[in-house]
Amino acid sequence: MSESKEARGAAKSELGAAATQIGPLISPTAKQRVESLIQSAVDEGISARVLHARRSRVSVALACAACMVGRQT
Amino acid sequence: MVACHAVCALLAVCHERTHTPGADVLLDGRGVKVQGFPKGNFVGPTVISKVSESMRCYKEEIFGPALVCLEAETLDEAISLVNRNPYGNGTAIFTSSGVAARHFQNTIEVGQIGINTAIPVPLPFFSFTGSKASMLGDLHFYGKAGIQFFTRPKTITSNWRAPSAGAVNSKAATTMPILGKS
Repeated sequence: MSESKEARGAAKSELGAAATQIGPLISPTAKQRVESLIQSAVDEGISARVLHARRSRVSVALACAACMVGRQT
Repeated sequence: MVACHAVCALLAVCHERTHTPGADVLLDGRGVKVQGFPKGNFVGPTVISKVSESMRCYKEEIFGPALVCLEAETLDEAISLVNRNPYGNGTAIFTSSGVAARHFQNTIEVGQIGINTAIPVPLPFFSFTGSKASMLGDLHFYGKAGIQFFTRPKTITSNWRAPSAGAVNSKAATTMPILGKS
């Protein structure tokens, strides 16, 4: 996550500059669509973890804790 | 924007599979700001791991700089995973094994295949030979494929670079190959 944020500084403000690392998407709609798909991965991942935790007889408290930190230990 | 193929199959053959289902966004490119372009539609590099076939981010083409990672136990399982996908634009394998590469190129049901190159059809003189749901119509387009009348051609781009001394286990290059430079 941190590397992506660091890309802010690396992106040049001049289009076409050799050091440019990030190009824009074609429209706000396209951007929203990409972000919504990334969010869907987060949401579906979390629900899958809760389901898995229930199936594997892990206590509910542990399952919740796993979701809170975003990953299961 | 980094182009991402519909079948962006990363053939990570992992012997140790995690017991935890559910995706992890390892690198999140949302909210990236670029100096001088506050209203720009930017999305930074994104890596999503532990993805399964039922997830929306796998089924829909993201069309952004996002890498969706699935894992398979064996090469055959990975090939089967790719072949179950309704799309067939491009796929790639990274290996030093000629046996694995030949098996992959023969059994994969995708029209554009990269062997040790991330972008299967990197140059404009190749026809577009993506297959299955990645292609509409009877014949392929760009160049000769339009008049050859084959319905299921495969374009295979392979890169068997001789390893330099001590570089047998060097990292696979995933950058765009440029003619004469690689």
